[in-house]
Amino acid sequence: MSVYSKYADHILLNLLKDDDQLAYTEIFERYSRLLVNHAYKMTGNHDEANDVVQEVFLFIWNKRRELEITGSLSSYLYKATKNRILNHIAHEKVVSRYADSFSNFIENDYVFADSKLREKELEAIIENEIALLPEKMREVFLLRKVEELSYDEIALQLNITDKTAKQQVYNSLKILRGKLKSALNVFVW
Amino acid sequence: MNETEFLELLKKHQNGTLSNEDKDKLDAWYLHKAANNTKQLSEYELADSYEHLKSRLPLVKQPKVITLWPRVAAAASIALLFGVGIFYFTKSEVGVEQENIQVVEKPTEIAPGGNRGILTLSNGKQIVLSDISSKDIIAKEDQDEVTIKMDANGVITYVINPNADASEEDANSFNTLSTPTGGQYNIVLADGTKVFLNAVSSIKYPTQFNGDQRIVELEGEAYFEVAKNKSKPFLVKSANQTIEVLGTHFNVHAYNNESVVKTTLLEGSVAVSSKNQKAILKPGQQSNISESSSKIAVKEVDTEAAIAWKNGRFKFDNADLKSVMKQLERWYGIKVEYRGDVSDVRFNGGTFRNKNLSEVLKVLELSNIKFKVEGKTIIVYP
Repeated sequence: MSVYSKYADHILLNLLKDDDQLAYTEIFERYSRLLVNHAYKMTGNHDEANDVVQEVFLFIWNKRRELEITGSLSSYLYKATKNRILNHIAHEKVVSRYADSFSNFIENDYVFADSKLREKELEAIIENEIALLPEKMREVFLLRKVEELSYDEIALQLNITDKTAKQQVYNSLKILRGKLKSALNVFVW
Repeated sequence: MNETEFLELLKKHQNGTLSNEDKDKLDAWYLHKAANNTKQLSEYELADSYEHLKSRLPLVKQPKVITLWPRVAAAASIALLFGVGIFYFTKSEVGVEQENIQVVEKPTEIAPGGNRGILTLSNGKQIVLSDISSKDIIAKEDQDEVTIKMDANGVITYVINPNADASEEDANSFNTLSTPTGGQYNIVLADGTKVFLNAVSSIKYPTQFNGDQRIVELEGEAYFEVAKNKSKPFLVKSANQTIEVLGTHFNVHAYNNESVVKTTLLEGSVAVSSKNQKAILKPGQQSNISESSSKIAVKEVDTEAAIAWKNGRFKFDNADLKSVMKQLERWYGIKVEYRGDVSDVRFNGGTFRNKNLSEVLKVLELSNIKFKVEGKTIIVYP
């Protein structure tokens, strides 16, 4: 549904809590590939990656009314995926295939940090993984970013106060949105 | 970190007994691995996963047309049901996500929609407008950005607080009000025009009407009570048509997934134009514009049926099955499948939109048709 592809993540989340299956479907459209790719990166196994992501999406549908999400939808989905991946690894008993990574993870690199810092690291990883997606699949997220940024914020970042300049930012943002939308239509539908 | 230590952390994770320090260590390892690993699935493998997951999750699927091959389709849907039944789940044992996953939802009543809308401000911000149950109550949404108010007549209006949308004073700023499945919302535009927006629809309008025309863009269905202003015509643009009015009451039904755009006039006069054709409607008339024909068809209709939705009712005046079911899909968030030929079924009569779906289906069953409810899918039999 075209209306739903225009909704920001927090709107979709709000609708999801009201049993809106179209909102759920749109969340799936946006995040399923990204999460599968991430789960594959962590487990090295395609089937296992599929299973993990399936669990995550079933969970958010079945528990939609009780979801308590404080941060962004993307970091929530990543954390839910992480929890399941860790469970999968724990179930395996033999963790030799992770030997490289935990022996590489040397204590001296590791500094006990607060959760805010980890959250930031996670956000950086999400951004990075989005950037690595095949181009067509990335457009979904470009749109999301553009939708989230208001032209006021952009103007602020560019340190523009002049009204005409603001209008120019607004206009180019509008053109960009239009372009992204048409690209998106080709991709999703 | 050695293997024993690592296993220890995983075990604690499973049992939910990680200390803050343990948790941070495990998180740090996880993020370290995520940041330093370059493994990646190809575009095709990702597409595979996407299709694989799609068939195993309770997503909204494109409705299937089953008329030609009822048996094959029935078999396919049974296979699909089995597919849904045989998921295997590993038990999740951590923290808040502990409960078992329940796959099959109990058959519950399917509740009707209500007042719900989404407002997109000109700066791109989106705000959920929810229902207000009692009159003259002021609700504030999202850090006081919008004040919603219901007047004595039950019409909901909202005011954007000036500091929330700095672009408000700009001449060309637009807002968009849209409704999800099962949502409906009313607004009053800057010129006093009242708009009732039906489910799965959106209207884009300027926050001020400058210039010599009042132009709004509509997708879906809305009923307009246009404030009179002879010097500033009011234009409603939809995908295939433009409606021009001076001040009048009319309903526009222009869903992208329906082939006919219908405009029904209750009061005054409107000019409907499409593909270089133009038709003037009189009260009681409805124009139909379809993709297949270049002409604008005009006929007399029961206007009450066309605007019943805005008055909280379903009213069917010799309505065809598919258009009735489309309405129900939008209001109850269901999907409809057809078994066998039901093309000549017509409905007359009505009921109320605040009823559960099962009660509405009972009314429809009086017209020699049967329904079967499977979760959120409704199967129609002749």
